[in-house]
Amino acid sequence: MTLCFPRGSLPGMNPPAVRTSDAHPEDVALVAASQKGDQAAFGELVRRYQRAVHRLAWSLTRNDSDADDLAQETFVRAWGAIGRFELGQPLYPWLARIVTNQAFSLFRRRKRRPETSIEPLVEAGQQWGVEDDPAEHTADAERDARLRACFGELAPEHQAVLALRAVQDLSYDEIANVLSIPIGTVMSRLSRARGELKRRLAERSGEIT
Amino acid sequence: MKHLTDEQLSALLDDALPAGERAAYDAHLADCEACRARLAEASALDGSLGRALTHDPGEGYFADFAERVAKRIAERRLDARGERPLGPAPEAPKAQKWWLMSPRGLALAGSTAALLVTAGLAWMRFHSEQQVVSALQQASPRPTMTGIEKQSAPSENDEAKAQAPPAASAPAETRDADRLRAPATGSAPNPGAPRDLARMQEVRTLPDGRQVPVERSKEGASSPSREEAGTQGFAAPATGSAIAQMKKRSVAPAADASAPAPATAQAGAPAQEKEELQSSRKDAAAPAPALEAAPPPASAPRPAAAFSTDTARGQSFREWGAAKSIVRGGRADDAKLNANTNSLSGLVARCGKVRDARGRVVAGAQVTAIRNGVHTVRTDAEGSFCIDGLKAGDTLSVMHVGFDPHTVVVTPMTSLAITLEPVGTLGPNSTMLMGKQQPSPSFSGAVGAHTGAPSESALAPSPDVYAGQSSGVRQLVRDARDATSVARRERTAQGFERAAKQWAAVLGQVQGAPADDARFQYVSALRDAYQLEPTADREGRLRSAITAFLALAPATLPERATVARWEAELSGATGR
Repeated sequence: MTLCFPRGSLPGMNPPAVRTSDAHPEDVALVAASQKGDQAAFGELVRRYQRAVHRLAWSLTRNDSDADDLAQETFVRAWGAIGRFELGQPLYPWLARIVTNQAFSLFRRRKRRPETSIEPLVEAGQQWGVEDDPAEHTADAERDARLRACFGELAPEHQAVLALRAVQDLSYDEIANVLSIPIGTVMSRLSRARGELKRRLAERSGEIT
Repeated sequence: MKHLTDEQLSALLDDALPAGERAAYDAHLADCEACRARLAEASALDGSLGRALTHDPGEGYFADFAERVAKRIAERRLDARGERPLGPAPEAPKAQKWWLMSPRGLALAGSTAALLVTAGLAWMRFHSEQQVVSALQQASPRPTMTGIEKQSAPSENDEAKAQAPPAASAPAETRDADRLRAPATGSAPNPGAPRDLARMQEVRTLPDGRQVPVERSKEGASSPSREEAGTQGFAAPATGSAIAQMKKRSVAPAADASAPAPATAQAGAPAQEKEELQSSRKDAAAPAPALEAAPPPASAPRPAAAFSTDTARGQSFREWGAAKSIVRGGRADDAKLNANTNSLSGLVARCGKVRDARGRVVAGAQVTAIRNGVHTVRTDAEGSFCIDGLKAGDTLSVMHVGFDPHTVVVTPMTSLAITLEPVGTLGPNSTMLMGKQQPSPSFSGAVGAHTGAPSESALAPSPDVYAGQSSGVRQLVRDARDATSVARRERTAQGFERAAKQWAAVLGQVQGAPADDARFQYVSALRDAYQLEPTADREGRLRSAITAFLALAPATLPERATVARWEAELSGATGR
């Protein structure tokens, strides 16, 4: 057997179909209660999804204050619109849609302000454990910062699709659902986004080395 | 067939192709090194990006996040900005207490539970491994009593705050009150939600929400860290997100599986073990008792998966990469598997199941058992496989397109619930961005905590085999080569093992020809280490590495013959 990539069809094919229809029973109950005005239930939903929402918000804004604002605002809006949420649907794609829509409008407002390089560096450095070698931190942090900077230069729709895929690990179905675009568009957009990111990264690495 | 287009590669990477197309692409990939390299590169970039764009603000941030949202909603309402929230906020005071309750303790307990429970499994399976022991020792200080105490706060608060002010009208006040209250839980009127560890250990909450007393005398004698793991396993909070759950499902079952770890003895009494295991699994899936004690009307019991998944994310888990890497691939999966695990000749499992990192079963994966001869099967539609005559000491390799190969040496304690990681994934064990030199995940089973180093790298393909790799990978390669040079100069087994570890780190990042080279360097270093100071340990690692190499290297690779010769030397048998 000579293959690093043995033949055979992948089972997990179209995993999204399974996952999108998979609304948590608990979520359904909580959403139903929220729709009746039960803030407790909604609070529980917030706690369940706060991390995922914040993670997406952070990946799209790459700074703490915007991410915090975006994440909070997402839930505020979700509460305002929970009555229109179709019961039985998975909640996260809906929340993610709110996050990305808000991020888009933030992009528009800011005209895609270029990334600063200092802040991400510092933040990235803070994530490493104390036992790690500082020199390694710096190198890692630089790589991360470069990657973030390149990512920040991408078109908003490319950022969104990449963040949903690479950070949130959503399936194409789910991404299509979140962004309200066809699956084929998800596929082509992701490919373009990756190509563009790679190109920018190469450019930037060229500048640096 | 022409080379794959960027879009095809992209979709392949995402596992988003129809099965028909996929097969054709797989076939092409099998023959096309260039496309394999592109796929690996794209995969690595995705992984790097995922890491670079991920930021964990820490538990503290989320502790009062919901409160802040509530406050914002309240302000918005006062502002009367036209987005009229649906909830008739002023009524439902009870609900609002719940809404405002501090989730800090829950979050903390949850993280801790996942960590400890995972570590628990590692302990059980590798209790002889000093490293795991030390990992556990490290793990235990982290969980705090506060986490456990606070987790009880919700139910008390629920009772005690029946007349608490509504969230909308006095959020700040409630927050303060909450802060004051949380640490003082022990003195709260409700005695049922205590800081009393023993009490908590004796109550088990069934999935239907009933609480039953439970005999835990066996665990009574266990070490403190194990006790904590057990306790907090029940109490894990539902701070998880569905997304995290999807993404980290591989971690959650690990927690499930590890729940029995403290409770089960060695292999002595399979039936009892199984029974305990089952009940422990129920426990792991049961909602937190403290929450159940006075559940809010709208809150359904929370699934264990949600807890452990969420809490397994991020820094905390990153710090426990060692434990995780040992546990990886060793999680029990379902009852059937557990039964199999326990019932086989020599206590070695014969059947297993292969899943991907999201917990989806992987059908068609190639499972190869190697010892005296090679026995290969493929997983069925359910991801299950059985290998007759599997024995302790066999090396099991699991491979499937798009995933890193997974290799494990079978021991009586080996669980055959295998989790495959996507190719080049920069997970918690990855090295490129972490800067940590850890064994490749795919080799964690074979290699254990420390690995060896390459020696006959003169035989390796030309140095520029890594030319197309990212700068991070190239740096790893430089480090590995340096380590190899040093080892050759000093001629110490430890030096070669360090080098091997470096190569394993490279191996975790590359695919195709570079991986072949790195794997060879890795085997070579292990061999040098073994030759300098032969130990059973080193022999085992070398054997595993050779097996993996031979299982994975293309037939045309010149180094194959060398490694086959090494294998023959080692076992006196004919190398394959």
